[in-house]
Amino acid sequence: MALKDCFNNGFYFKLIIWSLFFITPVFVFAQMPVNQENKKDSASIKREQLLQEVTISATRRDKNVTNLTMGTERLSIEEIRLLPAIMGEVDILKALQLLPGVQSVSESSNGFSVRGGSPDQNLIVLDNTVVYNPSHQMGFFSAFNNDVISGIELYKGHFPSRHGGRLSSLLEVKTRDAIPDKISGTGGIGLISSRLMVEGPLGEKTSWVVAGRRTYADLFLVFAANKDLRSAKLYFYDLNGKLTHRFSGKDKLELNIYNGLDKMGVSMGSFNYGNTASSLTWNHVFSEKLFGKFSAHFTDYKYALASDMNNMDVNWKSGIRDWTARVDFHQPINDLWDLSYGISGIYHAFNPGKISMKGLGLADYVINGNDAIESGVYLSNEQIFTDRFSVKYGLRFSSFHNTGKIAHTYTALEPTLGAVYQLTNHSSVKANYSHNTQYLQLANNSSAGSPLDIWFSASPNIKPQKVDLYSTGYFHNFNDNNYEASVELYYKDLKNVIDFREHSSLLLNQDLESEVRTGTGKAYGIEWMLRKNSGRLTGFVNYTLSRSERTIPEVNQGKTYLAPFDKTHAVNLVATYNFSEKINLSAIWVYATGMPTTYPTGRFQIGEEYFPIYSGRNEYRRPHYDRLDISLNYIPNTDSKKKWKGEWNLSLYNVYNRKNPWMIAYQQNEDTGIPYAEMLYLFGVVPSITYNFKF
Amino acid sequence: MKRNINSRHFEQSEKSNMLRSSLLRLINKFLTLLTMTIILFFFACTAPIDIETDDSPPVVVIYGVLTDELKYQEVKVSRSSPYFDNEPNSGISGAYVTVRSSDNTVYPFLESDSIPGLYYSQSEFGAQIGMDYFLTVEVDFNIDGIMDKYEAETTILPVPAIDSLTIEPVEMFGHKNHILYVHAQDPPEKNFYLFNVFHNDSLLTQKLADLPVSDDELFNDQYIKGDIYFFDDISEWEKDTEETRKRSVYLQPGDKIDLQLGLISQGYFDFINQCRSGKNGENPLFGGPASNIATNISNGGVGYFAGYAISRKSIVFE
Repeated sequence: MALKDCFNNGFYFKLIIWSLFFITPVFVFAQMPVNQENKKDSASIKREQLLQEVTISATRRDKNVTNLTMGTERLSIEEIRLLPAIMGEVDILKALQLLPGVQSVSESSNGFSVRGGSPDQNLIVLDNTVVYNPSHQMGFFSAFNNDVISGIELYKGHFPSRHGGRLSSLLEVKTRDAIPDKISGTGGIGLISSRLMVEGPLGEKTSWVVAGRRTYADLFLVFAANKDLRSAKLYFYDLNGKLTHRFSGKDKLELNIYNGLDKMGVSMGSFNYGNTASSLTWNHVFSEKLFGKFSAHFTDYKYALASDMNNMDVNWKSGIRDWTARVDFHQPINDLWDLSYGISGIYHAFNPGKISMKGLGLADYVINGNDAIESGVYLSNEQIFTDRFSVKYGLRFSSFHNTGKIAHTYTALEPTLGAVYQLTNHSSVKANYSHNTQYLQLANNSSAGSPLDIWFSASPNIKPQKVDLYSTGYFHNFNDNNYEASVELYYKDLKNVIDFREHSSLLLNQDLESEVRTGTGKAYGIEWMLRKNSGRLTGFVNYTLSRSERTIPEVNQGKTYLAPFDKTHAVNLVATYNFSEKINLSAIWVYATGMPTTYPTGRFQIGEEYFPIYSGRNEYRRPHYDRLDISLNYIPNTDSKKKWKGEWNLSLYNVYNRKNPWMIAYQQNEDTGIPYAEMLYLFGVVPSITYNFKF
Repeated sequence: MKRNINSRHFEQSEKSNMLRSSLLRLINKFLTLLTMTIILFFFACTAPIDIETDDSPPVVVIYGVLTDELKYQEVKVSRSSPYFDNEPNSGISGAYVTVRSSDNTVYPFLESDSIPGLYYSQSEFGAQIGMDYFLTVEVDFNIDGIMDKYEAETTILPVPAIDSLTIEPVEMFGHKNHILYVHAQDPPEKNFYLFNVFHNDSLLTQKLADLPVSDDELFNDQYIKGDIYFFDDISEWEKDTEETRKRSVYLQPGDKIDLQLGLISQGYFDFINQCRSGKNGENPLFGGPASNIATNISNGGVGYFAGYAISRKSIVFE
């Protein structure tokens, strides 16, 4: 592959990026005497927007061209809601996977890989609180109830210095921040779940939001052939609550609470897992040029397996819990000083596993966690040199301290650098560099991952993972910003990236670290994106050409192998057509190269059984993936004066019934004993209907 | 396309997985059940798929397990084949197979007249506790006129006694089942166990994928009551489908159950576990990427040479 050869060791790519950093300013200063008036105008526009929010969220119409950070993607909840969704469950994490550079790790899984990184390299925050497992139902549904979400923003590697601790991406999920003047709400009734969100004022300065969602998937089990499954429990719920109090124009206090739980149970035992994420945030405007944000966060992910079979009374619990405190300031002084700075500290408490086995008369089995403190201090600045040229730079200093028996500290400097040069009013070139460090990782070995996976930390034996990410791109808007086009190139150099010993056992292992193998990784690619923002037809199409590989001694005999989520080609097409105010039609078409996999190249026989022999890891690929989904939104009474407004959503998932393999299993023919392969695919055509309402 | 789940695959592994050390087994049971539930829930289907792979060059496969029983010990020497080959793998004839013990007794092996590649010890012998055994297989595998030599070794470890066996009824998946429990004291060392279960003198755990093994991680140095095998009650026979009957063992009063407890090496324990988990391929939710099954055969051979001593107990179901 040409791309591979071209960037084989990344040298040329890095050279290009660094040259851009150093050459561009020279050009710019050479043309320096620009119209000072003009400069102020553009700057003041930007400042005004900054003032609206403590955090930077400039939503200029030409942001595609002017935004300093590359590799950022935004989706509004309105946009997401129009998309077809499996079983009618609007899912922000599925929508996310339609963006360039974002790949799903398995059919219909909520695990995602950003620019060749593994799923545990994504930092997912709900109103700034980390959510460790953002999914339900073994990864098939997202933990975020779309009724309370206002939108998502994804940073594909170059994140704002205020966040750190992950290599690949930052996903910010934001809840509604409306100021309702009366009680109102939204909700929906679907095939597998129903949901309701109500919000309202409490006096003049306080507002509240409560929302809930519950699935009733267990109803389907009535049809199960197996008697025991019929009485099985299988559901999840989410609860969200938010209380906002505005003391004056200058102070805002926010309390956020999220709790979600999955419950599965049969007569012989049960399995529960879920997240709790809550935060208390105080926003204070010190002056027009100084904003502060003080917050405390708590997050808890845990799971429990219990068995009652034959009075065994066995209980297995595991999880991770974080307490976080942070202070963030934003100080826009002038064109040359637009500062963001702050400090954060996280206490991580790990419970890798604790089993009580009273019924078996055995002692408790406990794996001790190695608790840790992760902290960060950062300072970043944005400078507008001319109306054509701006730079952004920042530095984050992070440290990670194991508090357990073996006290140990790692520190790291994480610089970030970005520049944008506007070629014309409608086009720009950008370059970004970031160095990120990750101290936590998931002990997960399977392609899709499971809720049982354990988070574990860096330690004297496990060095923190590091990445150098270089990217550059060209951005062009057409037709009065109605069309946005971009092409971005990226190159990633990963160090201390982890994988696991072959045949490792990661659960209930007293010596998990001995299963870890570390090495280097490399990922690079090009992302093309074209988006149309207004008119009857809206949507986007993108194409990603990429590669992601790992080289880890002791894995695959030290030979370089493809990362499990490497997909050479990926195309996503998303379109919505507004026939009228009442009817719109949306479609999604996705295509991706098949995931790398390991197929047996030989077999050996013992007795009547055959066992596989492999030539090397991920040397083959599964059949390619493609799928078309469509949905129809129908709003019966758009001009109704009534408060209650209903709408229908009809979705058809996998319209042309493509059989995309989820799992490939080997069986032996019952008569001849000769092995054969069969695939398991999850979905044929899945129709669904949802009734959504507003009041 | 087969509608209605690939439950065969899952139940199969479910049943065999049930037989692992009490907790990991329990976990596996859950995981299997969860996978099944999810698959049911998503109306998953199976379809045959054609897989094109390159064929790796054939290698020598050696499998032999010595026990302390006085008998003609066996070693099988065969050839690996392409994974989807339509013929059973062929045995390798004409190999020189010997086992030498650490007291330098040499036991020559002779090839069976009827089964190519199966070698029997020339005389009956039982492996002795505390002794090491060295296997040598010499064969000109690549036909270059030079003998290729494959070697492996094993140590026979002392095995604890079984105190007693019990059989207790349990309701599972709406089925009446009986669980065979073993009662024994686990010694303080790190141990690995293997269980051969006989029902009216027929070995139920013939297949490696069905062979119950366990480490003592969760019960080291404790007195254990470990569940070893799940039987179906004879009253279920009527209700069960033909398919279920094939996979089930029905227990009725008067049936005799024999248990052999073997103490095996960690290497053989890993080999059996890897055979079990690797046999059907990868599961996207649980388990790791497909990897080659461990071996202790030298010189690029695959398979395993193991040995263990046995302690026994019998029970009659009432």
